[in-house]
Amino acid sequence: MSESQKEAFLGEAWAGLETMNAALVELEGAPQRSEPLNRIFRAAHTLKGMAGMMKYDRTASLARALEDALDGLRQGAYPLAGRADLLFRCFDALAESLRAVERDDPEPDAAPLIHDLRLLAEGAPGPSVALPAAGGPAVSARSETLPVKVERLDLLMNLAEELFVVKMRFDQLGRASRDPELSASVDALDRLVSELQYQVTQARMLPVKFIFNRFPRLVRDLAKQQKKDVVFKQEHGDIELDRAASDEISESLLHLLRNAVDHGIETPEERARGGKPPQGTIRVAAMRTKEAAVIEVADDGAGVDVEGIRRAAARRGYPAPEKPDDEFLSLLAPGVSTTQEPTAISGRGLGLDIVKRNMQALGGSLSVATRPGKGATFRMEFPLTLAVVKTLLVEVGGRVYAVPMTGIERIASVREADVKRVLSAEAFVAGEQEIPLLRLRALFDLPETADSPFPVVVIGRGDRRLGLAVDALVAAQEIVLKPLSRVLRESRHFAGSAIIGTGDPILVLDVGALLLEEEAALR
Amino acid sequence: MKKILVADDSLFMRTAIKDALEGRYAIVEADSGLRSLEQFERARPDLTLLDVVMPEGDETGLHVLRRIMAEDPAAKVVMITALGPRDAVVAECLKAGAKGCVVKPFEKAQLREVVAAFLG
Repeated sequence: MSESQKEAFLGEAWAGLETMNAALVELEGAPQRSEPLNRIFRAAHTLKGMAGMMKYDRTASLARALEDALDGLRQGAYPLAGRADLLFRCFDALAESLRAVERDDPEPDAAPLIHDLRLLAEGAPGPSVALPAAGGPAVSARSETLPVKVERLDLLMNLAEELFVVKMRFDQLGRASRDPELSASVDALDRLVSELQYQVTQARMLPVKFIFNRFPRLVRDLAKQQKKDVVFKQEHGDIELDRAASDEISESLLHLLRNAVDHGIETPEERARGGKPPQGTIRVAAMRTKEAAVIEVADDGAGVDVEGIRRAAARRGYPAPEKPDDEFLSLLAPGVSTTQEPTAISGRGLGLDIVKRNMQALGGSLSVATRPGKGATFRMEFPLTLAVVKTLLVEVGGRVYAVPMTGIERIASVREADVKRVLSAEAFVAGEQEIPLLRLRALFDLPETADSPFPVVVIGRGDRRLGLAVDALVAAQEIVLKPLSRVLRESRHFAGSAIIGTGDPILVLDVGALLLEEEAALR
Repeated sequence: MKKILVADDSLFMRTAIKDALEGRYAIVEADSGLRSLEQFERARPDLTLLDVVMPEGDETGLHVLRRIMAEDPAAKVVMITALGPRDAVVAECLKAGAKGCVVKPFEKAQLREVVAAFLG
């Protein structure tokens, strides 16, 4: 077997398994529908055929037994109720086989499972009402596509980024030399590199439904474990995400969905007491606004336990929040959980903190809306493309930092004599406005300089303003923003890192976080 | 070199077939029913290996076969299927003009034999 054939096998087999899992969850919710069953059947049939071709005989036998059992279900030989678990176990065993194939290990023995499936297929004569027969030909809009290894795409992306860095060096050389011919060539290079970067970014886009498809099974299993009745709905809206964001999104969804099942949806008895239908609903939806992608996780459960959060925050020494807005700030603070005794599933309530950090790493945000007894909606919002950001480079204490242009309102030059001091806070007047001043030297624990006047970068969002005092303005530059490493994510002040023309790594200031912190300090 | 059109929506199957035949024949690929027809018109293959179950609107293997036969009644088309030679759809394909069928899973040598039988 050629390596490319094995790769093609694994790609299609994993996709088939995801289809099966998602479709069986769907079928459990609507057993009378034939379409999801047909989808599972087709996927099992294809997997059997492929495994046979590859001479993965055990995998092929298991897929064949599954196909027969599904055929029995299709013929109405037995009802799905009470048997879905066996089918799910079979999917898991197939996944186990694929993992063995990936590692070039011998395939696991699935004989007992095959035996169970046989019994199921040959099961007692079924009810007289047969399921509707397979419908017409399946409709799918396949385009001319070919699976590409993700590592290869990442490699391309890295090369494009390195090219971009080299281009920036040429930019600087071009400007320094003032040679018109060199400038023209640099301009041409500039256009090509931008186009290349755009195309590579597009090639890495991943339909959000691929991410969503991982979760129906998870929600089902969690709900079952906790004896809750949950229907899982997804609206993917044909949104595509940069693959660079997919890990963060996946991990965040995992936490939000676990929380929704664990803390959101009540047991059927509790729901009945509250006058709600016994079955809870969890909905994930992807949408796009002009420049951002939005993913919402909504449940119709008990809502977020605000009182519980206050108590939990107080127990851990967080200041007791007074204003409603602050409830969510502390809800999202690390280490605060509403669970008295954390279940094995939701861990210790660090979930939301991880979601929040993931959003920060993507330059996005997390917000929450909750109504007691009615449910909660968690909203993740992040930029659609992550690649290139226009920034202003500033120098503080001999190091260069980047401030995203989108957050900058204006640049000012402030004399030391014009700085007002109120208690420990500082401000300066620009036009009609009094703008709070944050000295980045102080923020980074560096000694103050005696320079006056000094440059101030005024950042703003909504009606909040903050002046950042820096040593010097360096240049306006496009940078390729990368998520921060885990260690740096601990720092609240940075949104990401980047490599600039000189080859030096720099940190990108998080405008949103700085503004929030300033506002919190004013209270 | 004789030309073969491999029409299958599964990359895995196209790779498997190509592995068996490459070097002996020129291979043209199509990954959907619609594109099978386009490729057939453009490439005029000496032999078409056509997947029976290919989802794309109405262009299943059988539909594609019928349209190929209408276009060129002398076309040589061999169906590729996991359904088995006695399946009703396969029987329908043979009636509609397919020259034969290869049942999955198959050995590379088997496929080469079948192809050689039609192309010499």
